[in-house]
Amino acid sequence: MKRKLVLLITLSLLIPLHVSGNPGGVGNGLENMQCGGACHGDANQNATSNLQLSLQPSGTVWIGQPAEITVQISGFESHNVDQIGIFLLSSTNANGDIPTTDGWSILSDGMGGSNNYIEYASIDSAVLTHSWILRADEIGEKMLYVSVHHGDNSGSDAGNPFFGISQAFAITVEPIPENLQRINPEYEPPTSREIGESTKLCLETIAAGNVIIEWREPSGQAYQLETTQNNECWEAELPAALTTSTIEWRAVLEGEGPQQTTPWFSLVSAEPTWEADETALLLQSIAHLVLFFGLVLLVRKPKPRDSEFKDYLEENI
Amino acid sequence: MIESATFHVMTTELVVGSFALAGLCFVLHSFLIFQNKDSKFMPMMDTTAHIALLFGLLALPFAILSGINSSPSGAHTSPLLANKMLLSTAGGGLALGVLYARWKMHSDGFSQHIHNAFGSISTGCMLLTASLGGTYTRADSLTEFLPFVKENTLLLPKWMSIAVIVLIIAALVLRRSSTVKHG
Repeated sequence: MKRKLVLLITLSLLIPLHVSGNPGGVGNGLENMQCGGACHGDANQNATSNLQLSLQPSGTVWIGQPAEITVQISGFESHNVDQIGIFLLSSTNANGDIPTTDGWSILSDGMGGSNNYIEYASIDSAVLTHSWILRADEIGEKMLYVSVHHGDNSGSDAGNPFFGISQAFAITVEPIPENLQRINPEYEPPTSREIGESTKLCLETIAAGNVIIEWREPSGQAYQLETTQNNECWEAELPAALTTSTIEWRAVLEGEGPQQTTPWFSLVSAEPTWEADETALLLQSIAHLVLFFGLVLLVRKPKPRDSEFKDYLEENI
Repeated sequence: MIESATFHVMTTELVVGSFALAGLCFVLHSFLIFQNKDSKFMPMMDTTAHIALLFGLLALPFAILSGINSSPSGAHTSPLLANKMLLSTAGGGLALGVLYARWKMHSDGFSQHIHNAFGSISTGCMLLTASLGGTYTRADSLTEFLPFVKENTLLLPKWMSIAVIVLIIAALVLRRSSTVKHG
């Protein structure tokens, strides 16, 4: 019996399990490069990705102003990838390398959040292009990296996790001319909303004489919105979406300087999120603790408190 | 400074490991009782189960608190997280009850099988909680065959939760006072 048990345990330890990384992904989030290895389960399992990674800003990067950083990933013919995770990083330290730790603010990740790590559930073209909207809070040269992790569904690489990181791309953050019309550096654009909900924009500007707001479906035709000025805030209303979708909007700022156009900001419309009453959940958790604690005790037959004394008397007298 | 998510992984592993050991020992203990043979393993299983349960229970508050802190929007924003919280407190309550019963009521002649069953159910709750954590972070776990746990939460109204707490505490107090014989 004992031998059989030992044999069974030994065999079960020897049989290799089918281990795959995170087949469902880990979801968009703020992730360090360390996740590129460890989120697949074990960094030692990773093979080097053959994907080509590049990154560039779409124009001059001014301090305090939104800047579009576009990432291009190509070389999908070398891997059969169905899902890919993309990181935008400020260093390759593997921790503390989220751009927000290096003087950047992430205004939009293009997927309804403000994350440095995003996932694509499928790859539809030979070149994958994705944009982040960042805002630099310091003047000077900064480094940005793009990194990917993915699986492979074919050949000898099937099931293996892959990780790749780009070279460093230098981004020069320049001081903004004093009278140049611009968005208030504190402005945070909305990134997501619920279906059927229109979005009132209140765009705070500095030194702008007029502001035009444009919106479009991604890469579609642009429509202009009427704006009204309310102190330093230019107000406009983006139309509601009827289904889960993404629209983009941007502002064209006119003033003393040359016309300034912001990057396209993504606005994702999603199904209403599930939300429960926090207090009710907390109370129910306490109720569960008390209920199950009590259940274990209450199913037992109560033992009279004086039984020990009675037993003692019966035994000794 | 260690991040909440990292700390949560560490404490969860402590809880899951301890509870799994406790659950295994509870089952083996019942198995040995069922065989009705006098074995030196019987008290060993009983002791190991309760010590492991105690250790897991000590790590549990850290796991719950770090889990709440590592979720940016809170447990109330996802049915899966809400179920995790409810399951872990249910398992914690059972474990606490089992330990208290073992400590204070060990020799009252109560069925050891039922006692072990409570300990094993407590382990089941914790393992299911951990598995839901896998679903939440990795979108993959061993409990993918339980879709309702991911999508629905049976949430009681506040008054009912309060009523349950009051009722159970009252029952425990009454039970305690009724054990004193009068006259």
